[in-house]
Amino acid sequence: MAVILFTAFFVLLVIGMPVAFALAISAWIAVGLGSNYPQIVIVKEMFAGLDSFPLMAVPFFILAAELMTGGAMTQILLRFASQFVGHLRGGLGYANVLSSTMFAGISGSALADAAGPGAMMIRMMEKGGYDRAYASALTASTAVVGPIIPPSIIMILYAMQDDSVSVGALFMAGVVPGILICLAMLATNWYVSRKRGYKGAEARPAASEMIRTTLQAIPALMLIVIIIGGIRGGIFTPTEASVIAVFYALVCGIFIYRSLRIADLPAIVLRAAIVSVAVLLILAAARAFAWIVIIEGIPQSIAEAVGALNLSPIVFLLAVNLLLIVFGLFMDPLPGVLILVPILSPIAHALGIDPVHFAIVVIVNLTLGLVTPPVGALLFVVSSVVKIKPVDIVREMPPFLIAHLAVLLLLTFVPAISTWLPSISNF
Amino acid sequence: MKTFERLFIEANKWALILMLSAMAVIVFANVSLRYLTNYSITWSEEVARYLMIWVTFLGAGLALRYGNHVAITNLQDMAPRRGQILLRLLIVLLLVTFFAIMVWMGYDYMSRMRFQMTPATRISFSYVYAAMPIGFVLLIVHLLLLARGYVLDSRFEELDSAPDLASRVDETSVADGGTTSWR
Repeated sequence: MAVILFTAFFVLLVIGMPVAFALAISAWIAVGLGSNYPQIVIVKEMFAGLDSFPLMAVPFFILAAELMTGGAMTQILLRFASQFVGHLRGGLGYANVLSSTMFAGISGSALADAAGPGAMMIRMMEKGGYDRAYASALTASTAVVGPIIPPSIIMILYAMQDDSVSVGALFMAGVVPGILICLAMLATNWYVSRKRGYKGAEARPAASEMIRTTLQAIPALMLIVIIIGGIRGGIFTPTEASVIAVFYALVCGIFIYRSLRIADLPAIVLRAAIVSVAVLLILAAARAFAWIVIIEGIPQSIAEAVGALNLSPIVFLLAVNLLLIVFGLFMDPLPGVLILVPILSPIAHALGIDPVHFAIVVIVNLTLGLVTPPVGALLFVVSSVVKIKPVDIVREMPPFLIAHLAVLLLLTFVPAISTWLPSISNF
Repeated sequence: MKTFERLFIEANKWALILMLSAMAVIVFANVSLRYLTNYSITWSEEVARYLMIWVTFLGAGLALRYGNHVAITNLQDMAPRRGQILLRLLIVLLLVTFFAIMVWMGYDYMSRMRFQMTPATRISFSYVYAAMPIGFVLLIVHLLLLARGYVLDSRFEELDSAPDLASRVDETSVADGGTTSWR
């Protein structure tokens, strides 16, 4: 059954079948041709995958991000970030990184990060004399922090695949690695800007203007505090935080920033719903797929094979990194987490690797797959938003990829970066 | 046919909008009530979860229409035009077959579960599980509406993009204002 499952899945993917249906169809073929189980288990598992309260945070965080972009919070964060660093050499690059990182604190997806503040920053950087390709590469690379800094769609789904971690613990675990990625991107921008002589904007804005911009940014920044602080303090669960974020963004957009109108809401809700559906359907189908993987005992047999090799935890982690990088060249993080985590996490536990540490390594690694050619969703999103060929972005990617790889290795070798914050937050 | 398509899409969109909004309102009302008054709505979690199931299946067809289901098309793009068309035709045929099977299996599952009651609201589970057969019927309709453009040109419909809200920010849009003010 397993051979049929993986063969069918691979063939369907290669011919260009959407991932959600490739998962479901291959599961259906495997059950139908390779087993005596009634096919109805596919239906049962798809429902079981969706029938979950923690999962509801996914559509809510997506909706909150849509409302925030609609409610001009994106622009306000961007302006807030630019005023501090805009005058430096490569200043707009720094502003890009910082505003994306702040936006990551209110959105849970890398694509939202790139399409929201990222797209605006590219236009701004181009006007400031940067190459469009460089600005695009910087934006795509930086958007990787979106799902690393909480909230994070991928972390919610990860926690559903591995019972030994909670969404709250993963959210906390992502904060420091996210900041590290942000610093790595700032450093890369420093290096490239110095080499190419990208200039800063001429002067810092006047103090009075800076104060005004800062005051204006406070309601938007408060949302980051509410989400991260609320979950860290155990005041509410991630799902509760997500729905609070929805209504906070709504109130801010309508009453404080006054850029959101009631008449815009149906279109915004619809967009959020369609984006969510694409995620939820993959999840439902992957659940049926994973059911077969588990019933066939694939995790156990791989675990035994790996156990027989007598690997040290660190060698195992490096091997996993290599596997995931190859996987990430072609696949999105979402199916990656849904297919590989049920197989890999039991092995990691058996080797004594901290589940939270392992989760962060896997999530960061798979998210990097979004910026690696030939299939990198972030490259495609940025290229379509700013009308530039993906190849041109890829040409500018090497320094960013090296920086990302350095962070990934650091995260692999130093578990405390991931486990420190959750451990002091009582998760 | 055009009128049918327009009405069908509008109805599908509004069903989705209302359900996701209802989900958010129900969960938010429950969270607020619990923190403010210590009272909680017993059925809220259950109803919200079932709404999410409905949103997923009712929205799957629209997501298909607007090209939101991720696929890896590198190989397809490398093939000559005739090969591309054949591959996409194959995908459409596989999908229609699979959707039809899922309508049937979903209906079967729904019928088997109709005597079970949901824990909090005490309604038949068939109201929850009806989402799958109905959703896959919608997927078939959406696929057929889309099939010609997709097979021939790999084309999806465009979802109306959000109105240009950036221009409504109190001052000049940041994309210019941020820099021009310091230059």
